[in-house]
Amino acid sequence: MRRGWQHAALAVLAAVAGWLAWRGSHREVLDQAAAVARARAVLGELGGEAAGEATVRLRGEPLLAWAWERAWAERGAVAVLPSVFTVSFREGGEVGFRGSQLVELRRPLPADPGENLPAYLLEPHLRRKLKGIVADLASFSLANVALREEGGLRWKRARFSKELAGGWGEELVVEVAGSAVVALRRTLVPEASDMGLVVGRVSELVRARWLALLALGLALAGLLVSCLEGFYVRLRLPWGKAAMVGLAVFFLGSALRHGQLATMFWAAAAAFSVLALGGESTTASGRLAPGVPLGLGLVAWTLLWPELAQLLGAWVPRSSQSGATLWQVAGEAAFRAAGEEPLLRGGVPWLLAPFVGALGAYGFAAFCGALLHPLPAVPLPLALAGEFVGQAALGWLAVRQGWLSAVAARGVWELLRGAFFAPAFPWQLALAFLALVAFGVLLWTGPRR
Amino acid sequence: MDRTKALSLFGLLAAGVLAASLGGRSARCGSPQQAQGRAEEQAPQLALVWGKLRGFSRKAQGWELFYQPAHGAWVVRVLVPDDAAPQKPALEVAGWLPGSRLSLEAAQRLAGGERAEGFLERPARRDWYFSRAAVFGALPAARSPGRQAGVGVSWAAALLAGLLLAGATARRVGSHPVDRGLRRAMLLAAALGVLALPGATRLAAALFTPGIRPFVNLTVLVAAGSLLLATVAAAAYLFPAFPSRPRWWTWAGGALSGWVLGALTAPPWAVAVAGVPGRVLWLLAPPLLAGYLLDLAGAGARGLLAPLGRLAWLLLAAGAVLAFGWGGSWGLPLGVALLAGALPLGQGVWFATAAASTFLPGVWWVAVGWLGPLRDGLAVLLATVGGLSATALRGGKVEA
Repeated sequence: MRRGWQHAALAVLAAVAGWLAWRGSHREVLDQAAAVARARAVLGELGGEAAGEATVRLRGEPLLAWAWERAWAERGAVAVLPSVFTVSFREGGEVGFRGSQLVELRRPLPADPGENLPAYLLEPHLRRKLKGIVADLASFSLANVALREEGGLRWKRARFSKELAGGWGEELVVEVAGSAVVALRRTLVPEASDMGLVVGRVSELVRARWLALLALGLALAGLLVSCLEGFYVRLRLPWGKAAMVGLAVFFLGSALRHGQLATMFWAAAAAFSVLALGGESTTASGRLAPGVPLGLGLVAWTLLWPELAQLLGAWVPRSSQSGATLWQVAGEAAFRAAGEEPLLRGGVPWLLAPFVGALGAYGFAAFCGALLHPLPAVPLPLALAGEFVGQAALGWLAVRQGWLSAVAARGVWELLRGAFFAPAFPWQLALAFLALVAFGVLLWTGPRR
Repeated sequence: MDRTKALSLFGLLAAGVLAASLGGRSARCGSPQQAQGRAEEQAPQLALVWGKLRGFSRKAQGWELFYQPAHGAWVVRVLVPDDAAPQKPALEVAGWLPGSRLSLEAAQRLAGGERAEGFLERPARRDWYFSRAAVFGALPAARSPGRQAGVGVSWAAALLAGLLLAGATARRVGSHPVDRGLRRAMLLAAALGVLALPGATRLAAALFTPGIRPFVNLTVLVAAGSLLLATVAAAAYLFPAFPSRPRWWTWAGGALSGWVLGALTAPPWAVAVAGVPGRVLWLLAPPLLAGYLLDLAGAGARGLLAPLGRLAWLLLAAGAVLAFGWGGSWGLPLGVALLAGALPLGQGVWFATAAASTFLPGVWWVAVGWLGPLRDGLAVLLATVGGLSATALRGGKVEA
């Protein structure tokens, strides 16, 4: 029987890993060398030279990206807005792209900026100069021109605009000194109700988050009282482990620039959960390894959920632009796993189970967990539903294998789902490594009854 | 008849009347429902739908009413002075709503010629700000007074929270008999509290902000309130109060303290409670819940100061005076908690419950000018005095 379950689990894992690998092949990936080459080419075309070392930065615009997706979803289509990556050169000059489009450009004022163009010649000059750089410049129309003179040099700012479907628009602002283009900025102007819906939903979910923070704050107070009681009656508590976990979470949160209050809260939550569970709980904490296969499954769920929501006639965003670097993604995953999971899958169920039973306790913890990191959705309750399924699965794992397994599963889940939308992260490599570990776990331990 | 108690009752009543006369310095206010009627009939209209009344707050000069439509895109704030016409409504609008981008001259014309202080470029409109007016796109309104920024946690609130934790720990490590009747009463009080929550959301006017739909706010508030009440009910099981019958002096002292504190301080939030739907539930449920929590904090204070012996009682009393005088709005419950901690074991919960039960009637007696809360407060007062009188006339039968 056990071997049958093991084979089934291995087959499911293989299918999940294969599907994730296929999905990963379609994700946005940043080729740093190609980006730098493109930037140099753009600056070269304008007559400048991109000298010096180049650094590439990513910028995520999650609200704009969600509004964009929502606008297309209302028209029955799927469209994901790429992240913006900016190439900066040490000797001066900065070029930003969104996908294949140039969205920003700054370069130092050339030594010879050329003759001062009169205003009426500006538009044909710019259309000629930017023809190869802004591919769809012909669809933009000139809205206005502003002029100023400074030290004999005439600075001009031309604003172009373009209408897009669904009430969206684009604005292109070009700054010219003499006749040299020195700056360019292309901005997507969202339609008010699309942006308003996304901003409104996010605000509402931030308000709903208060409920989770209140519940977890009360749980932390309960754990504190339990630990004080344990100390008074001279229970053997794992002070060393709790302190190490708390400090680790604290330093991680500080390094990730989370607010001081949030960092201290999660550090205290992790420390007191480890303290209470290690000294007073009768259930074993479990091991990390069994969490890896479930973590991969949860990543697949996260990527599938928007498709399922669409089948139900609802909308959940597909993208989650963050602009995060490799270390930021990894650090955030570790922070959420080590900071939240001991409390959500250990401390809270331990406190609540005597009152509402195991199902009620883990269910409530899953609800609180879902409130902490939801994405905006239409209708709003769907924002919690997808996340709740994942959190409930972590609760199930904690019951079967211990809360440590849930920590590992959460770490894998957060790492891969955060990294999926971070173009600079070697996602396929991480997936391959974790899939190998998951196969090893299933082969060596097997699923338990 | 217990002559001492009967005479003391006269003294207590005299003290209560004195406190009420000292506290009634300002004119009594009308109800928020009356203010709502005046605002909707007399206030200058804005060129948009106000929506439903979501909340109100008591200000020095009158009631401030908050209206928000179901879509949540804007909030209308109307100040209705007690003795003057309602002021022009102020508007708060979500930043993403589209509108016009007016020039300074056009906006000034709409704002009545005031001097401009600046403008904000929103994604799809321009908002102009003047000294007393604002123009949102092309919609003029009074300038919103702005939301009060979070001022941090007061020392009294932090100390009270710490004493609650200390009291919970003290009750867990100590063993004493459990009053099952009180536990059940706490559960019933929590259930009544849940029923009072929907009306109580009117007091959370500051949470209704543009961009967040009112039903989301209401759901979060009711859920958070229910969670807190459930936690208090669970605490009554885990950290039970010491079982004991209330002494006459404890109840009388607590009732007088609550009445005097209410009459002398009359905080605006307590005046606003008089206007919420389900006001009667506020007189029934919260006193027992508040009494239990303040007793728990008092037990924490007593436990922490226990090593000092008799000096602890002096410190608790001095701390209470300090809290009442300099603790701000959180100083009142902190002071009552410290006094409860100074009382003999088992009497603190009755003292705190009596104080909490007469606090609101004390406020309403001096500050409120419409019949409903005065009638409800008087009923509580008569019940309290009647009970004390009956026990005084019967003699010392219920003494522990």
